[in-house]
Amino acid sequence: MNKTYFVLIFILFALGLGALFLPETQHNKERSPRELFLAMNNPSRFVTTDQVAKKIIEADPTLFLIDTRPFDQYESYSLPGAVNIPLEKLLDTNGLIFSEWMDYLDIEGVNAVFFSNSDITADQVWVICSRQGIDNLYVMKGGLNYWVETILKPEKPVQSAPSEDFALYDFRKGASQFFGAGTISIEAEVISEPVPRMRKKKKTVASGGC
Amino acid sequence: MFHANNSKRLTITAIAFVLIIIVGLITMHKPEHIYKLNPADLVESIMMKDGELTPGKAVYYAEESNPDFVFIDIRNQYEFIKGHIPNAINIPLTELLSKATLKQFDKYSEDSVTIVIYGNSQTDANAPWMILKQLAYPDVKILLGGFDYYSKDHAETGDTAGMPEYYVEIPKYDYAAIAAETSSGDVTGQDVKAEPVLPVRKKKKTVASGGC
Repeated sequence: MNKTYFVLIFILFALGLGALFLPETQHNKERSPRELFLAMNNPSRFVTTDQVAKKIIEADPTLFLIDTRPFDQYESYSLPGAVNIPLEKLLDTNGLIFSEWMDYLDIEGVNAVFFSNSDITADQVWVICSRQGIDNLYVMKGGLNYWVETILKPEKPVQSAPSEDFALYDFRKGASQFFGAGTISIEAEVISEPVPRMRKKKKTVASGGC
Repeated sequence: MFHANNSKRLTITAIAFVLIIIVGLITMHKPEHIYKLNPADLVESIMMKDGELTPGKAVYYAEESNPDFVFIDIRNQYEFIKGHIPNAINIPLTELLSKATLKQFDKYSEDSVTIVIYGNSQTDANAPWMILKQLAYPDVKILLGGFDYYSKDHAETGDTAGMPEYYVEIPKYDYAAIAAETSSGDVTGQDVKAEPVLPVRKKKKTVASGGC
């Protein structure tokens, strides 16, 4: 045997060992900081409360609402059909999104909209999920606080406001009724209150006859 | 003769082999920016709220021009000219990841100067702040309330007890109660889903029934 064979074998072996210790390549879908930065600068990642309200009312199947607040807040009130993924429970110990959340987030053709009380927590979840390469993620601008101010309790525009404002107000007023009635289970009872029946007055016995 | 020739060839192959690998390693694609913070640590740091700077403190640091803090204004230059925190440096958002900016930031972290980033609102600065945190600057802070709050309450931004307005993630309303209220209060009479009430009619008495 020639010595050079051994040299070659040694080199290949050393390289193989080296490859073992290479830093583990993460989830290959991960966005680079530059890509994340570009996605972040795209203003269309924010949606308005009106857009969300309209989609809920239309029962748009591409809309998927995600409540990023803690569970107790989600329990007391949330938007209809929303799923709860709190920020603190988003990631597993390896720093990856829990696979059960991934089933919700990474669906073709579905737009996931994050919301929280304002839009900070929702935006934080957005950044973390976007870094992991998930597309079609949105943030509801202003969050639930703004939802109350615009949808549940819309403010009447001043008399001199342009007609678009009034149209928007009309829409919000209708939406307010929709969400007020739809989101709370007690309401079902209110609707099914016994309907008062109108009774005709009994005719007095004396009425007919001589 | 044959043997010697063969070994020479082998040596050449070996050298070529090593050379190719070296060239490959040198020209390996180097990413422009690298994440230094993994997402789990990022979430933990957010939950700890250690990256937040209250407006009250910001006023204090800015006015005494504390050398340990540098305010970075990520709004565009027109907004910056109209008004900004004293001694703030304007780095428009589009320039945030440029080489010059990051070099500057590296210098700040070397000198252990705390970078405080702000936009018009906290929302504007939130994602940029998170990106910087994930790159090599885990100690970057964000100004709560943004410049809007800072300029509005500039005179009396003391950190009061209770919950100041700039903690935007605190629910301002009792949502459930409002939803109940809007449904029962406003709606009645207009949009009740109940079907129209049909009065039950009594059967007409036959004409013959009463009478003589």
